Order: sequence, then C-alpha cells, then structure tokens
Amino acid sequence: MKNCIKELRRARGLRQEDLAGLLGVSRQTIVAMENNKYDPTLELAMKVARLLGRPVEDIFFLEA
Amino acid sequence: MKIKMYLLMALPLIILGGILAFSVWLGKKDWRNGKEPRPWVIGVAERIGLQPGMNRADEMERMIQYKAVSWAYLVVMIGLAALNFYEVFVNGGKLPLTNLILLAGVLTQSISVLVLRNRSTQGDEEYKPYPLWKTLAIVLGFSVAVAALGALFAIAIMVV
Repeated sequence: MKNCIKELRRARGLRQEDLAGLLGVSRQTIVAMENNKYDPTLELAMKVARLLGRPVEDIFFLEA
Repeated sequence: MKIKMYLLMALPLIILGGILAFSVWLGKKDWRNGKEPRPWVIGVAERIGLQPGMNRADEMERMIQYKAVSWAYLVVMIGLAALNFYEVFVNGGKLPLTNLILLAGVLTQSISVLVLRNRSTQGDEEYKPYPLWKTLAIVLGFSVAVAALGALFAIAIMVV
C-alpha cells in the first residue's frame, strides 16, 4: 500500500516525533509508514485518519 | 573455596538479572506528572543505554518480533529434523529425545491452528469445518503412514 502521510503531516506543521507521540507509536513506525515500508493495522490507520482530519481512503491507497 | 567459586561463576548472571530487573522497573514506572526519576537513576540508565519511561513495543515492533520468532521456529524445527535424521540414519543410533521436542512443536502448531480457527469462525453458520474427531483421525493416520514409511526406509538402509 501507499500513503500520503508525509504530505499531510507537513501541511499541519507536525514533526515525525509529534505525530508518533500523538498516535502512541515510535518515530520509527512513522518513518516506516511514510516510506511505504510498513502497512499499519486498521486501528492505527483509523487513528492517523482522525488525527490528520481525512478519511482513511484519502490517506492510504492500494498499489495498482 | 567452593562457595567463592560458585559465587564468581554466578556473578555475571546476577549482574545480567539486575540490569534486566532495572530496565523492567524503569520502563514500567510512570515518570510523568511530576514524578521525575532521581539523578542517580538517570545516570545509571544512561550508562547502560536505557531511557526512563520507555514505552511498550508498538505495533510495528511487535510485528517484527513476531516474524523473527516465526523464522526462528522454522530454523529450530528444520535443525531438529536434520539432527534426528543424522542420529538415526548416519550414526545408526536410536531415535533421540529431540524427536519429542520436534513432535511437541508440531503438535502445538496444529492444535493452535485448530483452536484459533475455531475462535475466529464462531457464529459463522455457513462455515462447516471438519469435525474434530475426523481431523484427529486424519492426523493419526497420516502420522502412522509416515512412521511406517520411515521404518521401511530405515530397514532398507540397514539391509543394504
């Protein structure tokens, strides 16, 4: 899967550490998600969506 | 003299146990809300590379650990099977006790799959799995067939 977490995070002026703290995960998890190395669980994806103020399907996309 | 020797031998284990207990205490204690750790605690923690208030492993770390354990299980099972084969067919000995460990691992995996699948499909009226007695009968029959083949193979090697 791919995502646009990095762009949305920067648009809100958040650092990776800030986002990690708000989500209750490590900064490494945020880095891995932004680099498409890790697909989050549904729970974490929903938390990311709620925090960034967008629907889940607007943030995460299936690769073609 | 002997007691001193035993104490010296146990010292690395005691130190390791102490470090582990300290890291667990450091990680579990709630250092928020004004409950700052004392300076000597921070000093000791920094010296051994720990941080006060370490959080539990997050989901990515748990996934990494789970995958690592799965691979380790596979390596151990293959190693035990190879060791059994070597002991019986190359060294010509009796079936070693490691075979019991191998059997325990396979049985644990099989039973875990049955239990977890049963839990996951509870309430699903359309899912009709094999009855448990049929599953056990198939497993037993298959095990007997494999054991018989193995025995025939061993006898053939001994005869040749």
